[in-house]
Amino acid sequence: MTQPTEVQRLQQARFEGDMRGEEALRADGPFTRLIETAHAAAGATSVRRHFLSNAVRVDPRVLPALAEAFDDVRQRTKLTARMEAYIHAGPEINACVIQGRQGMIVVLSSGAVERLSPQELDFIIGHELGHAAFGHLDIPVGAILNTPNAVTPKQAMQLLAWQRKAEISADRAGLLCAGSLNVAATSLFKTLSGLCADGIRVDPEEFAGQWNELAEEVQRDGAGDRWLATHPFPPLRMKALISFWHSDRAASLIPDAPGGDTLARADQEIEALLAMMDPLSRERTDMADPMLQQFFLWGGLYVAMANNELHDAELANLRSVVGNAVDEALGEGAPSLNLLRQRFHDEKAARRSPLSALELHRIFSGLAAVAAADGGVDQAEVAAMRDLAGVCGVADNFVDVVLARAA
Amino acid sequence: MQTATQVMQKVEEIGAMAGFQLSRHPSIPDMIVVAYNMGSGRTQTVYVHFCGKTPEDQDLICFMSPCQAVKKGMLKGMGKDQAIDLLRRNGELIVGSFAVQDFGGNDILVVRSTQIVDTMEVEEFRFHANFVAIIADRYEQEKGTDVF
Repeated sequence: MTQPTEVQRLQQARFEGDMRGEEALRADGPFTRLIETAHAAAGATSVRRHFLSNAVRVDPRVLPALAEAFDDVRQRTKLTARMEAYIHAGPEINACVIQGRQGMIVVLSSGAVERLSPQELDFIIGHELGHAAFGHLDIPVGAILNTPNAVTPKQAMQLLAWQRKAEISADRAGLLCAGSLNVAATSLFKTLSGLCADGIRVDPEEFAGQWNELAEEVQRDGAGDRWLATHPFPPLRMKALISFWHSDRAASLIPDAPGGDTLARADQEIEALLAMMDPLSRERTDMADPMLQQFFLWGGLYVAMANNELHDAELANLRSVVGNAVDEALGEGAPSLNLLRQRFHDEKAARRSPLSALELHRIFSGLAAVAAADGGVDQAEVAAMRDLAGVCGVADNFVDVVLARAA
Repeated sequence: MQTATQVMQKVEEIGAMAGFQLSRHPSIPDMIVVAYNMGSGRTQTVYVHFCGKTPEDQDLICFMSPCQAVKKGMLKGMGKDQAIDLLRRNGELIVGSFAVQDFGGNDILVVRSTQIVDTMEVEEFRFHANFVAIIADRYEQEKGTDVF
């Protein structure tokens, strides 16, 4: 079998959701015209002139080590486009890449140069060059969003959701360049915390663990402005990097990556994590509402186990909705019905905003699907659904309607 | 994007959540019917239908309860005094409004109220349906009728 070239290596790491998101944007006629207009407008302003007057260009004679780092990463990404790198004064750890008229421009803050180790800089520079290598700069999200009345709120959500997916791909490019999950974790940790003590080492799993609590907070908020974020939450990025690191694809591209899981599974897991930041994902029919996972989990188990048996088909249905969380909930033994009901009740009580009618509709439609998964719904399951309807203040004749539809 | 039919199917089930017995209009697609017994032998009907999207692309539904048939044409229809009276009543309503709507080819005076589906709570379905039914029935009662 022929070995992949460097360019192919990089492309093989690209996040599936990023590719599909870009395809969807490009398939949309009005978006294509917006992209062209934004490019034309960007061409009229000189980004290079701005950085030549406000930042220092990375030159081998002035900053030899940094110039070498850029060259090294550039070699690894096999980017052939003209590129200039600049350092601007700023205490924060920051970087960006911009498409200029005569080539791309990579900018690092002085804080990043001073605080990151050479390997961590590889991660950051690799991340930025990844954006260029994956063609992300061809869709100027910022320019489009800054054009007054150019997009509807829904289109803005779609653009930003794609941009967050693009960040996942760029992180993978950074990981390929740094070659180490620990280095990626430390880079993200330093960027987020601002801490840069000598010898700081971050356990990727520990750092990613922060996501679990963040996800809980996000779900309990019920709604918010997360969709406005240009980047995924850093703990989510860490979790996404870990998923990729444990994929067979990563193992084929990075010597130290252990592999063991499929890339498709990693991508699917990341898609589910990102969905929590994207209100449009709540309208998707191919996945369960990410904001209601805990209701599906505890309510689904309560209904499925109401007749004292957990059928394989019911378990499979639940896994398709909440993933491994169902196995973690079952642990070493089946929890009592009282405990499951209590967890469902606690989730409802913990919500900071009331469940909307559509959310309740999604929850009970999901529970009905679990109940009917084994081919029939018995009286104990109907009673459990009615009980949960009572917990939610929903009339129990609705249970009959939703079960009739699921049957 | 959801079709009006898909939206109304969900709305029908949300109505069931709110405890209503709902039916479908026999000849108008995607129109949900709620029949009320207002007590003292009086009845009232509320119709719920898809009425478009907000500028933010959110689905809107309309709750509507008829209270008077309005004849078409000059001098046959609603007089100035009644129109002014209805505008004054609109100013006093906490939500919704009186309006003249084409309904099955006839002009009908209705009480109507709109709601965004995405953000609706079960209690809001109950509130809008009950509200337009009560106001429309009260108007009919004032006019000494119980046609709708």
